[in-house]
Amino acid sequence: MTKKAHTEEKAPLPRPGREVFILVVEDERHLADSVARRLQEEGYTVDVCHDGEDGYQLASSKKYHVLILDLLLPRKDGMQVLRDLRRNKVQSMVLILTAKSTVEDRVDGLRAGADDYLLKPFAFAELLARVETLLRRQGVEPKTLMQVADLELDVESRNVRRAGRNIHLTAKEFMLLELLMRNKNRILTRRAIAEQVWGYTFDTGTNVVDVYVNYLRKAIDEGFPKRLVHTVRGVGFILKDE
Amino acid sequence: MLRSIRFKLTLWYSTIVAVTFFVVGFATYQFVSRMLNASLDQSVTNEVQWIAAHMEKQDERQESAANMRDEIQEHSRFSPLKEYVEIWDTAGHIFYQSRNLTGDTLAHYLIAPPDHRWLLETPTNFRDHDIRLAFNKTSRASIYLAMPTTIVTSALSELLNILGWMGPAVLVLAVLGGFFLARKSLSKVTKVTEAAKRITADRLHDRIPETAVDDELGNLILTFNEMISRLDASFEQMKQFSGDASHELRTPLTVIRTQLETALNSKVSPAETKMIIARCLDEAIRMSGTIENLLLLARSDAGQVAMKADRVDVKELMVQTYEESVILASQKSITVTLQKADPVTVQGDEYRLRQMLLNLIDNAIKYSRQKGAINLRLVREQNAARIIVSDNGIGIPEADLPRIFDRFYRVDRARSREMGGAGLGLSITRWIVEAHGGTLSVKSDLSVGSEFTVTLPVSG
Repeated sequence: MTKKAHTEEKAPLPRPGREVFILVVEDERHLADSVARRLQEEGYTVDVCHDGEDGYQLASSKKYHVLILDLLLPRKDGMQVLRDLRRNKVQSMVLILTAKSTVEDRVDGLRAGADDYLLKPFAFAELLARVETLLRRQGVEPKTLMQVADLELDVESRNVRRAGRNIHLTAKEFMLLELLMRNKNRILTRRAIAEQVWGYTFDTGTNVVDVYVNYLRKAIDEGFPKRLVHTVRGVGFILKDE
Repeated sequence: MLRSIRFKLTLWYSTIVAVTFFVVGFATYQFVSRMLNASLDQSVTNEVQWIAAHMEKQDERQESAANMRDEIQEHSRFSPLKEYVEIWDTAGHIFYQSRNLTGDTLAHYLIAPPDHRWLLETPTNFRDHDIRLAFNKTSRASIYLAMPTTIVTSALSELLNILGWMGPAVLVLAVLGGFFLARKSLSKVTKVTEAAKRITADRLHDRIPETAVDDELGNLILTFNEMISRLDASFEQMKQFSGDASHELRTPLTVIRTQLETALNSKVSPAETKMIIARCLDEAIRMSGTIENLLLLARSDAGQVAMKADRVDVKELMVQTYEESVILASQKSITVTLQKADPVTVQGDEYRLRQMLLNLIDNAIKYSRQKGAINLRLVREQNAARIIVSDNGIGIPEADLPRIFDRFYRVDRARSREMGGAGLGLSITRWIVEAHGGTLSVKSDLSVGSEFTVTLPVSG
């Protein structure tokens, strides 16, 4: 039942230190595949399975750093998988990814030994950020330095440099740049940016996103021959290095 | 406070006590006053009669006038009440006058003219006190005899005095007593109120402590608790429903969102983009279906779905649906057989009845194994049409049977998702059957199969 998801277009990013293993247990195949694919693009080694029983067997037999676990699974309920794993002293960090939204569901999940809880539908950037947090808690040092061409951003120290020159950004500009870098070479719509940087979507339009992208352009692109932030007409923005 | 039942009860109680006290007091006063006056009159009359009788006896015995005066005076001395006596002879001279009358003439105080035989009056102008004055005219003399009414008036004023201070005292006691009585009987009500206040939407599991006493209040508490139980159940149902609904809508939304995010990667090939778009379309259609069904159920709850009442040829409907279902079932190589189709018509909505039949068959296909068998039967009975859809599929566990018609309820949620159901089909089916005045029942054995039976009333 398991399969090793793989990508052809893109080789895993070189990641300093040891290999990081992630298991995705999700019965919705399309969803499982796109999650796995995205994680692989970030340089993680990902296994995927589609039911609770397989998930339990895999997680018990191999040491994964992080388990991304759905709750409503065929053959074995996600909550039961989690309890059994914890009873057998499996230490992997577990992130529950589910559409069950009530407070009781969250509490139950965390009580059963989950380390984080993310509600569907979610943004990939948020899933990635949470996975990184879980890895850091485990002592696995994920790559904190992100790089696009000669632009560097350190998530930990919050330093931004371009061509070796320090750039000062406000908190919102920093969040915006981090989001763009995390999604490098991917188009981000204005609404997606608004939701992830400001935490909500503006009913009155996404004008504020344009304003902040302009601030960011002034800070990181002005005075450099190569522009990194591009507008995709009618869609949104993209940070590209090619 | 002034509008509280306790205040009103106290007010009523005190008013009743006060009115009772006033009536009893007034009656007592009247009775005592009448009795005292009567007894005074009696005394006066007795004295006059004694004098009259005595004077006649004296005459018979030929006693001297002086002797008679002495006897009258002697008699007066033993009277328990002070008395004034004056006797006139027929010649118009005062024959006898008691000493306490010095300077006064009783005859002057008589109001009515002394030409009656007998008079009894209360002149008010005698010295400083009222008197009861009796007059008796005999053949021998005119007798005037008076006694002060002080004995009556002082007794009455004493009584009034007693009633006067007893009144407020009784009233105060009534108010206090009424207040405590009301409080005692209402204290349980206060407790119920406090308990009811604690029970909010989030705390519907709480109940008011029930008393063993089978009184009005005990019944109230019982009724109240029953009401909370019903509220609790419907809140729980609502919570379950909105949780399920949001789950059903979130899942396709998640797929759409992650797929589209993937598509926005500049490195996704055009062919892959097309696939992603197709998946998203699928999910969107699935979501529309769920929303459509949800809206239909919501509108049916609100009674906003108009149900036609045409004559529907159920046999015809059954045959048509059977033909459609053969195609539907062929994907899983399931054999569908129309075993029996009696001619029968019912009063109803053809569109909804078709939807009901398709739902049942779709359900049977979903929960049948590859190469399974589904049997359809339409049986005409005395005054009912019976539609039976049976399969030899996976069956339904007994514990789940009572809940399969609940909205979003599925025996195995994870597996159902693959088959594309949101768990609303059977709810809609039951609604349609019940809207037609029929009944829907189910029999099932695990891994043997299920049998759904619709019974519709026949329109003559």
